[in-house]
Amino acid sequence: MNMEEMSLPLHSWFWLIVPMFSVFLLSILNYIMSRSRKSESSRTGIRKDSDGNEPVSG
Amino acid sequence: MNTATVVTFILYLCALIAFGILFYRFSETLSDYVLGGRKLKSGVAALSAGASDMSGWLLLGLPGAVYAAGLNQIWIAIGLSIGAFLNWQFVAARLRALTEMTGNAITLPDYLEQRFEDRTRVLRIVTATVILLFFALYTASGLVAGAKLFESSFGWGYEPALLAGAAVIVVYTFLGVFMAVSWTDFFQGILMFLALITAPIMLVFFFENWGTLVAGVAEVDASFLDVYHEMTLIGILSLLAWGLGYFGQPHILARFMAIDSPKSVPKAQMIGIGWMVFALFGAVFVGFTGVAYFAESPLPDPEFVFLVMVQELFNPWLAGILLAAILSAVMSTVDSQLLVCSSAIAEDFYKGLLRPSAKNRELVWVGRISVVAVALVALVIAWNPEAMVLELVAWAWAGFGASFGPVILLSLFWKRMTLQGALAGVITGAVTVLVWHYLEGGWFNLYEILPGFLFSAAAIYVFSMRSEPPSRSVTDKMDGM
Repeated sequence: MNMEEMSLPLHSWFWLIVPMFSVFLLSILNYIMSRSRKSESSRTGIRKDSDGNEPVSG
Repeated sequence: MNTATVVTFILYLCALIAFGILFYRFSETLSDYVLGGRKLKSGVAALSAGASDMSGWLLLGLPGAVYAAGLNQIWIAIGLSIGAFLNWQFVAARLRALTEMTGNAITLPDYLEQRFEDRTRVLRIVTATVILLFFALYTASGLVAGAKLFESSFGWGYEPALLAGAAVIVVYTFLGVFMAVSWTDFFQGILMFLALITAPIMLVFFFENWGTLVAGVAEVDASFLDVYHEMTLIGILSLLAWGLGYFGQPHILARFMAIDSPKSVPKAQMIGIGWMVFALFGAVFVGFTGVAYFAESPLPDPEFVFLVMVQELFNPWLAGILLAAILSAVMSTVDSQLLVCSSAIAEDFYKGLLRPSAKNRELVWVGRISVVAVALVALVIAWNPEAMVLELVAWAWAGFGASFGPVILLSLFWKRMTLQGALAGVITGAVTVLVWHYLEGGWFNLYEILPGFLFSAAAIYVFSMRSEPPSRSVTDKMDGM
């Protein structure tokens, strides 16, 4: 088994791994951000709407 | 098949039926709980969306495609991962919130009728027709998967295997067994997941290292290692376009509607995408390792690859459990699709058009007769021994993706969309997929979902702009989002 034969499939798998695991990582990031938004609103007592805007008072 | 495998296979199925009958008594409250109450927690919503999405084709179709053609099939997995991510990201929370605001809709026809305030019921009837049409194809793919399992495991002929599988499925649906045991989907999902991950890892050890495995694949056909082999632009676009299908699958969108709160979506998204990425990766890996493993004696049908691998690699007792879990996963999916079809016939057609005064008992029987009728249609479609799970799923997937995908997306984000636009979108998507499927040559080789999706989106825009703007009550709901 020479290096050329080894590198070809690794390159092919790279095509599969990068986009698929990128979306997984993005989902994890999304979840962490939603958790931090939640803990921020519970700390400040300000509830933001779905767009992230604070309610207008008065 | 090994005796131990047969024994565990039969015992597992018997246990499943016994649990089903035991829990059947609670089914009414359970289904109310799941569908009506919008109480699905993140994990259950994510895994049930994944499990109902991928059963037969994940375990038989995708590994079979990679086993037969090599790594150039990975574009499907890439397209699906991206599509599923975008669906969770842009559709899930918004659809969940809007369906609650528009009359607490829990199904796709319900949502569309209420979103566009259609009192003529035309949109509901058209939607139900499209659902019946493409779920018949989907059901056929499940019957083919069941037949292949009996065929490869017990050595039966294709037709007897198909009839046996179809008979079991229809009896189960009549009993309503699987509706009562939704938790088994979760258990089976985990079993499938473990089998998909462990089978290829065991094969890497079987070949001693990664290099020998790759050399084994290259020996069969070196082009199997190339993701671009025989891939034209049309080919790559076609495989990537599978991802567009997610926006219009009624069974997946139903899980989004049933999730307990829009705030649960990010967690569900993370679990769902994680499960999917590893499961898809495992399925591709199974097909890939199968090329080297079966190099000496190629399989008669590429879609047998996972089934035969399970029987050869695992302990016979464990193999029996896994095969039974595969069969019951396929059956539970077919069962729920048959139930969606029967409710479309009983509620939307029979009660909606023919007998508005029909009583519940009458509707239950109409629903049951519809189950048999749809199963018979699916049986006729599946009768061809050359039928491939992946081909049938591809057609149904394109049908739903093109008919409902643009309609759902635009209905969530575009206030100016009208009832006429929605109708035109559903009809254009469905007709394009049905016609394009039979066209060949050049751009007609493109997977029908892509033209269907684009034409449907164009039809929605043109017909919405040419019709009266939607009423104030419709736009107010959108403003409230």
